[in-house]
Amino acid sequence: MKPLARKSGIFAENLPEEVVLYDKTHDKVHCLNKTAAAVWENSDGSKTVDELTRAVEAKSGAPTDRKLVLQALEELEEAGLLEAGSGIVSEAGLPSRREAVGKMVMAGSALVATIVAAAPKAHASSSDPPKGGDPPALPNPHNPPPDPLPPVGYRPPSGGHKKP
Amino acid sequence: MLVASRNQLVLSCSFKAAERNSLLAFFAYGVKLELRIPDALLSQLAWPIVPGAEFADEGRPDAVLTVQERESGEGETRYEIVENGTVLSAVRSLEAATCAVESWAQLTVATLAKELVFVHAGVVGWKDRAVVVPGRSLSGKSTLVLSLVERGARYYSDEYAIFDSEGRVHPYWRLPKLRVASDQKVATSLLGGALSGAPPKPIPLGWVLISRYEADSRWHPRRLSYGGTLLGMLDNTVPLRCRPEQSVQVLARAVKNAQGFEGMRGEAADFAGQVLASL
Repeated sequence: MKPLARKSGIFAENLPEEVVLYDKTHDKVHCLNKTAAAVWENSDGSKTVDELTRAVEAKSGAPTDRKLVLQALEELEEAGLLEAGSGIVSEAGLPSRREAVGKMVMAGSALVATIVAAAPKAHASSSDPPKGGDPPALPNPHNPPPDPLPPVGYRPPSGGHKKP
Repeated sequence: MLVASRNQLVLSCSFKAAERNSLLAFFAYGVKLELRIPDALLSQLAWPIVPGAEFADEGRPDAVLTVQERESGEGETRYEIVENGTVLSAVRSLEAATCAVESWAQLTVATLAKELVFVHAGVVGWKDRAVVVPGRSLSGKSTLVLSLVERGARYYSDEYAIFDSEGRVHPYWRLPKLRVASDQKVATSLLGGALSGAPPKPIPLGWVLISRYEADSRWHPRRLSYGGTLLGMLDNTVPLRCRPEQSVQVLARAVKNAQGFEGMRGEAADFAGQVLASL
């Protein structure tokens, strides 16, 4: 198989030694380490795994284990960063998932870390209040009771807002 | 009634008027909000609802929140919270409605402020750089911030780290809100005077501390990569979904000059002492 990176709907930001990708389609953020980033960038649909390994070596200037490239491909595929049909795990003779996970644990860290971009929850609890009580605490519970209004003549500090 | 000035707001709270809705419009961080709420609720709101808010004339708002007072079939009063025509929820007490309005205003400003990126975090200044402790509401940020300030750090915020396009951190200039009454008293005593003055200037990011509470833990963090630090901040970034490029770019710029750490922490006082000793 010749893996193809999914690039549509993805915004990339380069950091020293890493790349952060925002997937607008799924609202997820991925952080790729150096190896995973090189694999993703070189997965243009024309290279076999061996050719990808050589490309990653050329980019990094250091020998690269083929198994590390395969691990990167598996993690990229799981993260949805390769086009459908790359079939990396089955085609490339990867070890079983349990072995792969075990290797990742032994290696110390995943090559691709992911978070889901949460929608801001601005609002009061949407659940009906139980009988005899109000809904669970809202974000930023105002406890103790609200501050009284400041005295007349109080001027709010400037805080970056614009005057109309 | 349109509340268009500070004096009108004071007057409207100083007498018990017949129940009617008032309109309160204000700007904060470049966002214009409009509240249409019962007078009884208006009298409960602390001003400014959002730090630095200023009253605004009528005009097109960025978002509108309406609170409708309704009598249920059983004779109970309910307050329906409605945003831009969509019912968000209903609560039964004036205090809950007040909380909902304040939360909505603060989070809506944090979401819509176009030139700034708001991250849920506590912030203090230390050696002229910002120490940012990301965390959602109810994660203990305010208590951590208070403990750091008690040990000599400079207060910036207990709710949001506000990043500008250069990656500097601005204060969210309001009194910390703490759940324990004695802690609130300490905060008021420590910071009440300072908060009536000008806020501190924006400062570059120095450290990001990503922590989770575990009883009896000591702070022995692992150093994060730039990417790991950025992920920790993005996980708490308010406008990430609606302005992903801006959020990522601004925070990436900020973390390139900072150090990120992740670990378990114990009680706030212990954590604060361990942290400041290590920075």
